[in-house]
Amino acid sequence: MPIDTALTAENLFAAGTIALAMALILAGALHINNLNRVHKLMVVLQKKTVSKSLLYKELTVAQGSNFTALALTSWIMLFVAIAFLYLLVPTFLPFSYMDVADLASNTMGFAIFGISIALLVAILILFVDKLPEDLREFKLTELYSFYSISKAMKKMIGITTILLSFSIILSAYLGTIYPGRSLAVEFISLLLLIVSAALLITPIYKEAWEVRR
Amino acid sequence: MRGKLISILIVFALLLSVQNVVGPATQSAGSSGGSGGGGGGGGSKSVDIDRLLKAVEDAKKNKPAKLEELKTVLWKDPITSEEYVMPTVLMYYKGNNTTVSRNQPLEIVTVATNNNPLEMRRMLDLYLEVKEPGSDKYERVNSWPEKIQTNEYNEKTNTTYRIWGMLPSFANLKKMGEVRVRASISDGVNRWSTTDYKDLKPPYYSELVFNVTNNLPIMSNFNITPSGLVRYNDPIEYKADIADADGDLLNVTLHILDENGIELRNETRNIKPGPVSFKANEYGFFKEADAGKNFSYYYSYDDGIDFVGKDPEQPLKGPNIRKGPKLSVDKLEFSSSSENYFWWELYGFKVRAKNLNPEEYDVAFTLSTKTNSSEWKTIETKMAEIGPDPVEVYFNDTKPFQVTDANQTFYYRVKYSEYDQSGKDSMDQKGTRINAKIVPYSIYSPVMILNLASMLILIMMGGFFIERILKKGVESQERASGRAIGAKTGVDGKSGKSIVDRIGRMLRRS
Repeated sequence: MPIDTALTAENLFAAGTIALAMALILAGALHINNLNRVHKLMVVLQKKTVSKSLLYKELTVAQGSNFTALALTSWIMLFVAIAFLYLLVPTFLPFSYMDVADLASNTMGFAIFGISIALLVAILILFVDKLPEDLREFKLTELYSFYSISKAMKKMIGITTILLSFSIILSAYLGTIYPGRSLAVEFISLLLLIVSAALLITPIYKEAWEVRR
Repeated sequence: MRGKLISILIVFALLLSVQNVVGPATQSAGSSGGSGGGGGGGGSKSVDIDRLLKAVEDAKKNKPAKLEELKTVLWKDPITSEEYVMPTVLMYYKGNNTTVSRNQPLEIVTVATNNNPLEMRRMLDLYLEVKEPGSDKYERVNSWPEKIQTNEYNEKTNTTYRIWGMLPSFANLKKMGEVRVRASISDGVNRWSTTDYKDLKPPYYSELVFNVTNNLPIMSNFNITPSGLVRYNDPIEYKADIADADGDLLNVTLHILDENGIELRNETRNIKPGPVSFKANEYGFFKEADAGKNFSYYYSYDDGIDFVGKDPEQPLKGPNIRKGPKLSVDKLEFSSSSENYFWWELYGFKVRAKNLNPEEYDVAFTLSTKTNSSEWKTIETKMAEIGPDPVEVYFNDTKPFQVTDANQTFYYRVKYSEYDQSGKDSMDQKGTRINAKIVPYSIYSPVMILNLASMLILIMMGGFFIERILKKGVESQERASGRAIGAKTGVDGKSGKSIVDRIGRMLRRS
């Protein structure tokens, strides 16, 4: 396949989407793997069985209320931004917000849509938070409790709320011009998403890299 | 005589065969086919009919006395003798009430008693006969006889019976009155009928006598729709119910009278009992010239036997045809607040109408729209006084479409309360394609800013709220790791401060 054919806007957008999805899935896998490796190491060093819940208890680092709140907000906004980019208009998927006539005709339709997605994510986060103590690796609310995060990194994670807000606004702009399209805005919105996601999962990759080194 | 002769011959043949068995046949002189000199002694000979006949003929010719003697010896009386007793055949009816309606189910039975021994019985042929009102003779109901075999009588009572299924009722009678039913019988020798028997007691009869009556049809629930003042070409319908206990096919005639009670016209329908309906438009009862007139009506009907000339006795009022305009409608158009034809825009519609007659009338105009993805939807109704001068009826600033109508071609219709020059009461037009754009706001419009700002702020607040509920940032983690600082006081935010204070503190805490 010639390079110029492969580098069409659709292909690039699809590639970006796949990269975003892969980065998130891989981060999840690495996070679990990181904690499992530490658990194994503890067993070897202690020369006895160490329960996961005890390990997690010892590993836990308090990251501060505001940072944790900002990180949670960022994660919720990440999913809202994804929904705005992919579900607001039927450009990428066959179903969209525009198919729900009453919602789309409502003056506050965009806000209702975004808040509904945020509520859904929040309910999911709260539900997962109810898992037992030895399954804390699955809790998004405690994701950063197992990593040492620098102040600079915390600031970067805090900045993702702004980046994601821009992504949401750009996606909303795409909704207002539909059925018109703006490839540039689509790419910028996706790029902001990818950058935000990358910042949010950097501590996991960093830890995995250090453990490997 | 012939029977006797055959009997004699059979007996004679039997005698000859007995002779053959006992001893050799006596050869007559000159008989043909004889063997020379007793070569066949000891073998039997079969009876030869030619020889038998020849012997009888010889006897008749040469020995008439012997023949007579033979006849006397061999004669046997036939079974039809003085001992034969005539079978008794009677009509049987279980019911007490002999006054019956035409369609009332009947069970007419004929009972036969035959006391003769089986070998003396003869097969009986039965015919059912009916004498209708006004007739002086009985008519056979069955063209082929109903046969009673000799062996079908009850062994103890010597009786049998027939239920006449071919006369289940008198539904086919054309004239009501007394009907007589009897059976005629033949045993092959004698003929008689059940009326020959006298002094019978019920349930046995020499003949059944019924007083057959007809049920008159009954009409009810007279109605005319629509009620009140109507236009001459409205779907006026005369309705009623008609019942007939006999279930006959009925002729129902609607008589329409003018204001002076003079019959203008009538229409007859041939129907079964049930609802009756005459649709004025179907029969063309009323014309434009009838506008302003009041009519009345009644029904007449018959079931082929009895006739009801007028029901109800006093003709019923209706319909009252009102005067109205004769509309001429044209120039149905639409306009939009912009040439973009967005779904959220305001649209205007107008239609021009005038009365072809000189009067002025109030006419209702109703606007409806639809797209390929939606059904007709009423938008607005307007009243207008329509006279001989053309009047434009406007539907301004309507918002007929929804977001789902975007990118669809729309149609619009104005329906009016009177009929136009084409006899129609509405006019349709195809509009244009609605713009495909869905969101009516630009990104920098106040509505969008409000949408996005409120959403982002709420999400931000939500994130902080969840953290404050779960306390994952400091307290719970420290408690979990055994490093609790005992700084719980005030963290729960339940110190009685206002909501604003609590939110402020929630955001300040680190």
